[in-house]
Amino acid sequence: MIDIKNSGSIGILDPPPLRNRGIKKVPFVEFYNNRIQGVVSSGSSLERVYVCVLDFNTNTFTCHTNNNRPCGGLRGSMCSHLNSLLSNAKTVDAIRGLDVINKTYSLVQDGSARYSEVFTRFQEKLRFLELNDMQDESIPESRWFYTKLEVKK
Amino acid sequence: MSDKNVNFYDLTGDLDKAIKLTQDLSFLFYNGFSKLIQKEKDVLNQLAKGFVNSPLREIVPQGIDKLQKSDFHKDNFTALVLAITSIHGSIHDALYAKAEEVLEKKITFLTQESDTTFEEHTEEMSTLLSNIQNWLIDIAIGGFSDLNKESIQSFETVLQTVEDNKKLKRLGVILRGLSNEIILVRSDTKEKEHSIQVRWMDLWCKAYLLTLKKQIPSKVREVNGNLKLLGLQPYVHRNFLTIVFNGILENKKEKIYVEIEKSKFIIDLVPIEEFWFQLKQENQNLIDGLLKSNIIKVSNGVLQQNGNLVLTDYKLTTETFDILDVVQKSADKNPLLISKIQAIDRHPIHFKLPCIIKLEDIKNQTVKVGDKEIPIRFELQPTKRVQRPVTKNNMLMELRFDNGWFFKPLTSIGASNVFLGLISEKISTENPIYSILKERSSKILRDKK
Ligand SMILES: [Zn+2]
Repeated sequence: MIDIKNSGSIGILDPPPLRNRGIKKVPFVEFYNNRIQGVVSSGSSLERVYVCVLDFNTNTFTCHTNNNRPCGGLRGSMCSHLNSLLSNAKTVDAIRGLDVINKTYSLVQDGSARYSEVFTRFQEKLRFLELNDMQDESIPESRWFYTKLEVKK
Repeated sequence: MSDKNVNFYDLTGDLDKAIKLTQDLSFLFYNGFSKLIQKEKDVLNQLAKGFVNSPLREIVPQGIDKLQKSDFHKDNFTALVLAITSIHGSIHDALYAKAEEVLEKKITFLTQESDTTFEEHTEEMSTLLSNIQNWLIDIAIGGFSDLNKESIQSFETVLQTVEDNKKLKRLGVILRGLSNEIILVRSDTKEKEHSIQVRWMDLWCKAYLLTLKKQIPSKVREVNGNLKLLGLQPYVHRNFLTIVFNGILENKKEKIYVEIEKSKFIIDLVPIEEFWFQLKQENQNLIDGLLKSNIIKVSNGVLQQNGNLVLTDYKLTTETFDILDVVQKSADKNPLLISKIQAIDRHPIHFKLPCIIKLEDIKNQTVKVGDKEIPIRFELQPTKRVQRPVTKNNMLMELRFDNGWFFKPLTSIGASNVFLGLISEKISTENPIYSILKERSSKILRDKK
């Protein structure tokens, strides 16, 4: 009989930690290029969102709508959208979140900076959810890809 | 290097040499054709001599000669791709011949009476495919080792156009997967394994091949009958999840070994469990059929030439079947038919053969076959419970090949549940993140268009 349980070659997937973050309020948050950036809901409509960025390259923060209009909540200090982004970032990556929290006090407002690529990155990710609705075609090559397994021994 | 030239078109005793050659060739793609060193030129020369009796006997040596002289015209890369594809096909066929010999068993193929036909492209499509081809050629010239985020980013718009086109889904998956994999894996020093590089060359070649002509299997077969599922294999990749069911489709006329493939793109904004859960939910009938050995009645199914069964209309019944019976009884007068994959899709990794293994032949994670010992390898464990033998004395396994022979246990009977990537189903029943983002994506992306 094969001793499957003790085999080193098999394993089960370790799921990523459940991210019980406020997805409705902050649908997208990421640490990217020495920035914390993301998309924060306006609360009034699904289409209208705010692009929020804490940029540690320029030591500035900004918030603007996806149509590039400035956020009215920015008055020299961080608006509610930026605060939501920040607290969400901490739930996504607690260690990195803690690491930057102290640095945020030295950031200054740059109300004119625009980060349209943040919204584009969000859209590019959402695209794949739409692609899942496409009709099934067999892709035998999907089995050629390297599979990275988090193996629980 | 041996003096004797191996005929890659007709592999009889030179299986190992052909496999070694494909491995050596992958170094050229990794390092780039613009900086070929003598050792790599030797590999190309060896390849050029291997098609003496083949229809490729003229274009392959010519194309390879020009590539060596840094003439990177696309005709020369086409010749190279045809040569590599031909070797993959020969290895694939030789593996079946070898398996017949080692297992002392006659393999019967299901032949689909079809030649591959090609579809004419619109001008727009031709331009798109030609752009992709040029991009692929640029990558090969510079080498996978040279590829960076910027060169991938410059290709993003073209790639999205491919992905949005239903007819090009397969090409889109290969291109997205390959480019992401090269960037992500290469930046992770722990994963610098040569076996991955070999696969990159394979993916590159397949993508290139798909840009030449849109290939359509001319005669897919309509099938009806009883589907008896024998196994399930999940695959996880950074961009998508795939589950593959193995089974036998049986009707009055024949018994065919089939696979049923289901895939999903994943994104890092949604926990992977939610995607697993969806795949599971969408295929619950199939999973139940597998776990309870219940027959699934299939009407108007479409059997593709690679053995993939596309289900349109099917029903789970309460009638059960005996797994071992299905495979064993078929051995005599009504042999189990293995799909003969169309030539351009043959690749060693698609070699598969269900086998009944005696438990007494299994020792230390290997199966004794004649005087050989073939390892048992698991990819990803699909069930919580361990695989149990089908009977007191036997186990059902699939003989496979990936950088060497291995057996993969097929059956999961006795398992109470299919595990996939789910630790707990609690979070997934509500499906929160996925559904929220999905709602948004339809609004936000429609807005964009
Ligand atoms: Zn704001």
